[in-house]
Order: sequence, then C-alpha cells, then structure tokens
Amino acid sequence: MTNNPQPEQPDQHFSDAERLFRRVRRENIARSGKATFLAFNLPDMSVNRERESSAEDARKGYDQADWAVVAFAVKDIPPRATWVQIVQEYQLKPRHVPEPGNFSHSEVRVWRKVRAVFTLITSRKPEDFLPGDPDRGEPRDTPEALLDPDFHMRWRKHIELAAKMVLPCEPV
Amino acid sequence: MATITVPRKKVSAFVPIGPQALGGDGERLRQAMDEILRHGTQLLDRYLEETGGADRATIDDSLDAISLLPHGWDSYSAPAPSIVAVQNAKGLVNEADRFGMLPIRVEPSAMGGVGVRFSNGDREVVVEFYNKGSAHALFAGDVTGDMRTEPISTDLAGYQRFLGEVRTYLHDK
Repeated sequence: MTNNPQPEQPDQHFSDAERLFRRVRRENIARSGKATFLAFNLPDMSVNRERESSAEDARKGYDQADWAVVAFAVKDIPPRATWVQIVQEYQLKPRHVPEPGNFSHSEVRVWRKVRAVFTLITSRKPEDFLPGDPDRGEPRDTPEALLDPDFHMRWRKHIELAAKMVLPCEPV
Repeated sequence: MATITVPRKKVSAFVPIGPQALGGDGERLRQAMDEILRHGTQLLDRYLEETGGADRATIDDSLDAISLLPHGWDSYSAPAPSIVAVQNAKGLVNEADRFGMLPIRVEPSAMGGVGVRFSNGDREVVVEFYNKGSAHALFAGDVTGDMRTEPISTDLAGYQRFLGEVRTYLHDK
C-alpha cells in the first residue's frame, strides 16, 4: 500500500461569484485603466480560476511593467445560459482545464446550436483534449464555420464592461 | 482651451490645469474640476484619451510594432498579426488621416489581427482587421449600452463609406 497522494482532478463546478483572472498586455489597456475588448478572445479563452489561484499567480513570472491582470465573475460570462444572437443561439461555459504548472487554468468555451444540437466551436481536434475532458466527445466545428463576428464582438465588449482591473501595470 | 464632455452637460477648462488658471475664468474651471471629482477618474481619463490622442507618427509606429508581435504575444495563444491585417489597418489609417479623423489608438487583437479605435465622449467605434483579410466594426455607446456591428469592405470605397459612418455615429452629423 502506498501513501502517494492522488493527483488533483479538475472540478467543473464554478460558482457564479467565482472570479476568473486573465493577464492583459499593456497595449490592450486604455488610458481609463480598463482592458479593451481586444484583449479577450473566443473560443477557448484562457483564464485562471480564483478557487485555485490568486491574481498574483496569474502574473507570476511576467514583467509587472508590461502585464496587468483583470478579473470577471463567472456570472458575467453568462454561464450555462444561452445567448440568442439574431437567429443564432450560443451557449458559453467555463471549463477547468489544468495545465502543467498551472492547476487553475480554465477556459471559456462556446457552443452554437446547429440543427437543434449545440456544437462546440473550436479549432482543436479530439486528441488535443485531456482525457476526461467533458467536451472531448462533443460535436464540433471550427470558428470559421460557426463563430459570427457580430456575436464574438458583442460578447467581448460585454466582458470588457464587466471586467475589473485587479493588478494594474506597475509604473516604469 | 479644451472641452470636457460630461453627461448632459458641457463645461470648459484651460489646460494645463494649475493655480495660474484660476484667473478670469476661474469659476468655469472650478465647475470642470467639480465635475471631474463627482464622476471620478474615468471622466478625466476619457478626457485625456480624447485630447491626448495619438498623432500619425505614433499610430504608424504602433502598427509597425504590432506587425512584429509573435504567436502567443498575449501570453496565451493569440496568433501573430498577419501582414494583410496590418496592411489593411494602415490603409484605413491613411484614409482616416486624409479625412482629418485619426483613430485614438491601434492595438493587437487576441482574436488574431489588429484593432483600430475611434472615440468621442462615451461613444466608440472599433474596427477589427482579421488575419485572413476580413474586417468587422463595433459601434458602442457606453452610457446607453447600445451596440451594433457590421462588416467592413477593405478597399478604398469601403473605408470611405465606413469613415462617413464613424463621423456620423461619433458626432451626430
């Protein structure tokens, strides 16, 4: 019998109040001190989840003069809800996707309803997903095929308005 | 003299603001300072962004710097801005300069490409030039929350039509 601890497993439960941290380069910060929506992307936007890390962790190893950290809440995504865009219907969810050296790594994933089936929008192939990833077997198609600029621009602007600066760039 | 635009009201102030400015127009300056204090630094920042907008040389330098960014420049997986995206952004900036309406900033986009931002008060228009050659613009009012988007043709006629829309949207002309 060994005493080796079990490796931590991803936890796909996100509370609405949990914050998600994202590093932002200086060039994407307006003089107002807020990150512009050009700092955000879809699909598969990388963030660090607050339950497993801090804002400081998100900037560890990066030059504080050039990198800031912003945060938005899971409820801002909005999670587990559909976003009806003209005649297109989208769904967004946070997913806990640990990376080597960064257990808190998570992603904002997006689906679009195609012929009554929500289809994951991603450029990844099934083998690019971790074993056990809940979306590994999802029907999928590429951003070029399914992600309408009207939707992703509006959503990213929505995140811009919701996001708070938690670690500004340090003065040079 | 510069104009500070605040919700439902316009006041004027001398720049730079200093004790010496509290002369003949001191009351108006005090009004401006009161508005800034009431509305917080966001108002002042917006004012600074409008009046301190980039000049042509700064924009050109920024676009040149953006063109050198590598894959993953955002520390995640953002594609490097493509030559075609940067060239399209330069084409719009050229035409905007000719129209006398330079953008206030250009920046790389995490979607892959280049963003060009025009702004006036609480309204902004951001056009995103994507790496594969297409472009899309967002028209947004931060106070009203209204938003609309439209595709932009990346040719001279398309830029001229777009800049006319920008002028109308930002200045209600």
